[in-house]
Amino acid sequence: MLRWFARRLLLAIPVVWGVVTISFFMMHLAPGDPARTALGEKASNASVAALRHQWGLDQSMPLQYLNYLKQLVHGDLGTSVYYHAPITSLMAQRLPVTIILVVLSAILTMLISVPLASRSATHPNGIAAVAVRLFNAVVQGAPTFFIGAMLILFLGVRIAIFPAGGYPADIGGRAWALVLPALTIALGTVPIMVRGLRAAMIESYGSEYVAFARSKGLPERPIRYGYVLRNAGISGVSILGIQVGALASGALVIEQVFAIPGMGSMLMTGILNRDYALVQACTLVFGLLVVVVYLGTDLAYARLDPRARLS
Amino acid sequence: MTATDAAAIARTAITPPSRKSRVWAPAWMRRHNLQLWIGAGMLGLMVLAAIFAPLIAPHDPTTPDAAHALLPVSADHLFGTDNLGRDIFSRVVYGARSDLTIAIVAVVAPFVIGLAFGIVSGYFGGWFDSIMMRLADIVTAFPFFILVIALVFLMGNGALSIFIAITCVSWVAYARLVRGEAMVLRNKEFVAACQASGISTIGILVRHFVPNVVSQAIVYAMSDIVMNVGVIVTLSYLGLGITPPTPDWGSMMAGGQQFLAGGFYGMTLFPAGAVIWTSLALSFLGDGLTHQLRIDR
Amino acid sequence: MTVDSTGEPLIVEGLSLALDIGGVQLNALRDVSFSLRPGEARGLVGESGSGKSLTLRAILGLLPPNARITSGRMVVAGQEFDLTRTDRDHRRRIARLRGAQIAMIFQEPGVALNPVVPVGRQIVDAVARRNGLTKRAAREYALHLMELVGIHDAAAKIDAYPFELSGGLKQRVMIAAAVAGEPQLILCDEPTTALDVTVQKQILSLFTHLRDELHASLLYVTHDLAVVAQLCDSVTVLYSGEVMESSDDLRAVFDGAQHPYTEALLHSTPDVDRIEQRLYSIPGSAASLSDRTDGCQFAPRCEYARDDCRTGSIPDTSGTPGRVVRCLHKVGAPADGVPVGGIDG
Repeated sequence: MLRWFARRLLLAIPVVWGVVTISFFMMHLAPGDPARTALGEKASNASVAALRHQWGLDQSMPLQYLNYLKQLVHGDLGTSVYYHAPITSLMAQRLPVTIILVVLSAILTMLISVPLASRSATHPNGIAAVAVRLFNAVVQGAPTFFIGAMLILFLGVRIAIFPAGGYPADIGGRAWALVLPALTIALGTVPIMVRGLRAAMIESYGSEYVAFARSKGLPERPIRYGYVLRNAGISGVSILGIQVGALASGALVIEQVFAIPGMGSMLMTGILNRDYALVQACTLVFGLLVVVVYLGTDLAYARLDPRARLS
Repeated sequence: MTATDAAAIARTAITPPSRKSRVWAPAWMRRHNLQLWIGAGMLGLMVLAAIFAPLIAPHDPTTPDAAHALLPVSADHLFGTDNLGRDIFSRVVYGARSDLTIAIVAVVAPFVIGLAFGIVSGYFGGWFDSIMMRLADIVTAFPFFILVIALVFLMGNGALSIFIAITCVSWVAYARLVRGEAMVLRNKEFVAACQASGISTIGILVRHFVPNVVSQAIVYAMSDIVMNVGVIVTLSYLGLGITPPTPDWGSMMAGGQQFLAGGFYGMTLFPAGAVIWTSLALSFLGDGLTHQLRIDR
Repeated sequence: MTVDSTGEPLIVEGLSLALDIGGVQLNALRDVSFSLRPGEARGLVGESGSGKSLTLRAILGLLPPNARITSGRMVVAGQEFDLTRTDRDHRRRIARLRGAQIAMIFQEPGVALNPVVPVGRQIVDAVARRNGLTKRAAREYALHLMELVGIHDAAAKIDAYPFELSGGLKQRVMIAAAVAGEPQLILCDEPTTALDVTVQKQILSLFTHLRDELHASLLYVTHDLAVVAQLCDSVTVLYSGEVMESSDDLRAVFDGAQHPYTEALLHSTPDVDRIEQRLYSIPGSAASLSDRTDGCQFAPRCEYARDDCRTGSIPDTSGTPGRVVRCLHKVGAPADGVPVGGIDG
């Protein structure tokens, strides 16, 4: 198992390298001069040149690339022009918020999807199944921010259970404030998850191993949990792994809608203020985050499915 | 194998996404493949609206008219007016113009690039294939939206940068889909037969591979357009896409959001309805096409 | 719930079953009846598609969703069941039989075991739950059962996953799981078909051994008469969902098959003594579900068939208790002066 995971880690290295390299070239091959943009059109050529020198933009591309790598190894993501602060310390405040938001939405996705999929798998013509289909049809077409706006309207304003936005200082308030945003992100993933889980569960219910379990006299409940969900859960985990990119994308938008100070809103701040280093760092960290989640998915997959450990 | 083995396994399990039924439809609808026609009809309506926007829209979509702000639904203003007194119906119709055009045109380049790379990758395999797939892994490591937003940021607002950004990211899905089909085709006997009869490799690829893999790619394109609509609308919502005063569903919703609490739903709901309508249409169409292909085969 | 230990472990009477295929109702089983005495092993023989597996699944209430029982009753250890019922109460009663009274061994051990649960747990999960066994006791029992079915290094295999075991071992695991609840009756759905020939032999002798050890009755579904000869006391021959011939005494059928189909089956079974003979093959192919006709289902392929075989339902013409022969023109019985096999169908 350990060796298996070590191999997975090794295989992830080229992807990590690729993510780093793309984030570097994306910013350095872009049209325009970051230093000029940072200082504004009215800045003198001398001060722009000074900033270019400070950022190392006057060096050759390979040298800049090496410097970039060197900085990253030391955990240095550069300096934000807008915040006048090292990006690493900004990340330390923002990243946990987004991670909590994404994890929460992943949990909500599962909490909503499993019962829905389970119900519509066992009762394919029941009310729940029809409701799920209608829900899927509408929700998958609606933009995330629209769902967010609707949730704010109904659960934040009309029936004010949850705050309509913001991120209070106390822990309890924060947890409460994250429910609606997480729910919004989750709703975007639920249709995909329900479809995948339902298909897997229907397949599992029709399988010979479930028939054999029944023939042994195992009641339906343990069959549902120990057999059907256990097997369908494997595809659920991989769907969740793939969807983490979508969850992160959702977080980016939803942090705007709910005014949550996470990575997404920091990226947007960077974009609106043309803070190149900040945008670059946020893109990179989001990319690395997804690679880490993919690895985690592999690990979870191997824990759930003994066959996966073989290959 | 890739670093994301579980993801790869699941990908093969759930892709191509278009093969799975995306929209609920009753059995009788499936039997006559009504989804195809309903989808085509719904989309056709939207496309007609986009094309004939100047004829359909009763009012100018951009001129403010403070005297008639936030009017409710009426015969003159089918969807009411927004906070600047502009006719929402006219704006939704013109919005179809900007949003649909970009969404549909932005499918073409990824489609062509993905098709070419996918076929070559699947047919030849080897180092080219390894590099392609590694590149695909790296591109998909970034959350879709974040990459698109970063690219739009670099190139500046506007339709052209949206095109380029979407192309950079979404060719991967086509390439993966087509590559899989091409790998299956490569081992078919007709390929050996063609080679034996002296047809050039390019000839084989163009004459036999493209027609065989293109249908799946077209079906996928339907859901890709849905995704593009989502991207454009969200970009505009965030202020990075189509900039006001050009009417666009995303910026309309962004503008309407603050009036929701005051009970003025129209500014948000009507453009949202247009987005949902469009994606439902395309989902139906994709389902119908899948169904039709299955019948034809 | 009283268990009548002296009564027959299983009586099935008049079982008919329809399958819904693409909206069309097709009769998959028609008026199938048989019974088992305590300790008896009955072979249920037929080609693929003859409805053998459906019969087993109907007994345990494990039919696919498109199957509907149109008539039939069964008696299991003194309890009577109206098989056409689908209500909750009936389903509960049937479910209570599973594992405790009747167990089943499936055809393909490769797909009938949960791929993500260790085999030891699968052997005892149902029993442990029913009898409230502790984790430790369950494990002990699993080890015991694994040894009983001839898994020698049980301790090493108990935590293995199905994919880590060979086909033969998986089949032994399934047998262990089936006998775990000490059922009076074990239904076997071609349990050796998916295995290598050498492993088949081992599994067959395991069944012989288990029968003596557990005093259970066996209902053994197979297409292979040689297996029946080796293992069973009695035989029921199915063709296209109907009983062709049935006998409580196996020898009576093997020595003197009366139904042309049974005779043909016997001829097409490889026999070591007649190795140099060419194997007989029945002309035509097994009737598919949609080909079901009036009269005798076998008539289209039967050498002895005449016009009267093609109408109405064919009665039992054996005249001997414990024997059923549904044939109007039995093998070796000169009827109406027409020479046997004289008219070709």
